Amino acid sequence: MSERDELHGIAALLRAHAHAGVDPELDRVGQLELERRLALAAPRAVPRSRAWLAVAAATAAAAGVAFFVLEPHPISYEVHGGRSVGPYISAPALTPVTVSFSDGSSLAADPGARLRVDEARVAGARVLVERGRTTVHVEHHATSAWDFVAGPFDVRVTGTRFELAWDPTGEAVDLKLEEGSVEVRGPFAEAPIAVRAGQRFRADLASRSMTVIDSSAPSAASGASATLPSAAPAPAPSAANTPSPSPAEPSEPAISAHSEATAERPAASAVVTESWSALVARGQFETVVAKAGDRGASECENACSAADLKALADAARYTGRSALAESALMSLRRRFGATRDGRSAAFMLGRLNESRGAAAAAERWYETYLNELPAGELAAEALAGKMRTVLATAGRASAEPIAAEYLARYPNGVHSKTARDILASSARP
Amino acid sequence: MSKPPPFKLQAVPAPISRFPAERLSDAELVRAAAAGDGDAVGVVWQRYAPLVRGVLRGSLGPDHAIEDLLQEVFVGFLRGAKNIHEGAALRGYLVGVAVRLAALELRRRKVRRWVILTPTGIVPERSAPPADAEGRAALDALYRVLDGVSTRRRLAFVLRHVEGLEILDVASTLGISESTARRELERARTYVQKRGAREPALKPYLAGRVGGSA
Repeated sequence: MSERDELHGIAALLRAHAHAGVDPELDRVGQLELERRLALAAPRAVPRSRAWLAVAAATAAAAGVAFFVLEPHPISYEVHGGRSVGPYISAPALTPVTVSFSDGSSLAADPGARLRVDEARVAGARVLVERGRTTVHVEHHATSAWDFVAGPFDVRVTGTRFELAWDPTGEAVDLKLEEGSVEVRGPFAEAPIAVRAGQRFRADLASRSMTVIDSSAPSAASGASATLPSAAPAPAPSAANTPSPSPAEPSEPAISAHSEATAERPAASAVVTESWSALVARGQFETVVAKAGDRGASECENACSAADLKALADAARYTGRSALAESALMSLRRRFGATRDGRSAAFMLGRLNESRGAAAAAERWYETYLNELPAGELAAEALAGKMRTVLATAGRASAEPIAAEYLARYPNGVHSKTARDILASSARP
Repeated sequence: MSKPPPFKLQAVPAPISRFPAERLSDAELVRAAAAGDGDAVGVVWQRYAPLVRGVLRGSLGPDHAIEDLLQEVFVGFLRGAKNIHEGAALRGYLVGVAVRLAALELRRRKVRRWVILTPTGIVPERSAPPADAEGRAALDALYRVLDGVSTRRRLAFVLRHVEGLEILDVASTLGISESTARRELERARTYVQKRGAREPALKPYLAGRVGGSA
């Protein structure tokens, strides 16, 4: 046997290890992290003319080495009741594990949970919740900076108490806030979403939905729910194929002009007002709806900026006021139809109608979006929406070409299973 | 099917469909990534993360830092994309960065061993360990053996026998001459064969009874 032959088994052993499959979730988290870094890096490009600054910074850093002993060190932690291998912490199947940090913060992971202390910082840490539920208590300090990552969602914390759970199989996150407030960054929202004490944030990758509800509310379908961008609220009991508000939405507020309020409003130049988009990003949906009410329904529809209309539509959707959301979206279409926001409004109108059970109207809006932005960021969702609504209104045979188109364009898309099911059942005799 | 409500759609210019990033060539991807195109970066990840992860795993063995190092390779790519003039060589570029990072990590491990932070300098990998105890023991034994060769020799061995690179490519990736690469490989093979024979868990693999068909 030659030397090369003798090493063949060794090489095979190495190859099997090197190219063993990886947890798709781990891979996806890696890709999302890379894209996040790209997004963060973009505005931070340093012009070449400032290269001297980098040299100065490097010099300062070198000098800092001399003061190493004076530098603050990252927080440390101890694991009690579980297994810890480096930064990886696993709770036994039947008992919880606690992690105590040197700044007074602590984690309590439920039985079977998996955590990873990815980065220990001077005033916090970055913790990956890889599986199961963890109760978090972050001690508030002036410079506290904690991140908790669950799948593609990043929860940023300064001081608070909450429960965070990640189900890697169902790809669902559940955050229940007991004290303080946090910001959640995720793949379906451009801006961070503020979650406050007493609220619960849930997101589901499969249905691309995010929901903020009051913790005390019995379910996400209650009136306290605020469904974020792509979620579909529970359909109204009536399956009427009309775009008008259903009787299931009695809480629609009347947006009427209040002359007294308008008269008392301070001059715009005298105060710094927060944009409606910022208010929506902070979860202050009711404030946005109230502000729109202050301005008067028709006034806003005719005079609000595209950003304000979009924020109003979001706030209205999040608080279950679908008629108000539709009005804002239609205004966005009418006045800013050639802009990206205006075109994206077509998709949101599709979602709105689909959630009401108005499948035919929803199909038209999805079709409109696809015609206007065939490669838009919501094209996959719009095509899937069209597939669903055509299936509902015209049957399987009509949905088949749309399913085939979906699979051709997005073979690994979120809705590929639905598309395959449609094609498979059509193929059966 | 009920008649849908009438819509007054505005006439809009025919949109130009964007070419799907996943069909772009490596050179086009590099250009797009350099311009900050997130889609292109995502495709680069999907196309090359398995390869880079394989290089890191093969070089380092079971190690919890693999995913962090994988990030470092791609973050390095993001930073350096503007300076990659030959985009078609993206594969080689990423493998080269991975090899350099693996070399750094191996040196760090040696330092850790010297200062006895951990007995071996190795922390067990959490993802995809061999399911069987024998396979795990063999893998541990093999990396114990590889810990005995120099970093350059070890990386040459991995690039040749795990990634299947030609000698010329091994030399190019490690920045050494072809003759040096041949010499390093030969010495690595000899060492692995001799030292491996002393590891009971590796005997079936050296005798070709396991993995010979791979």
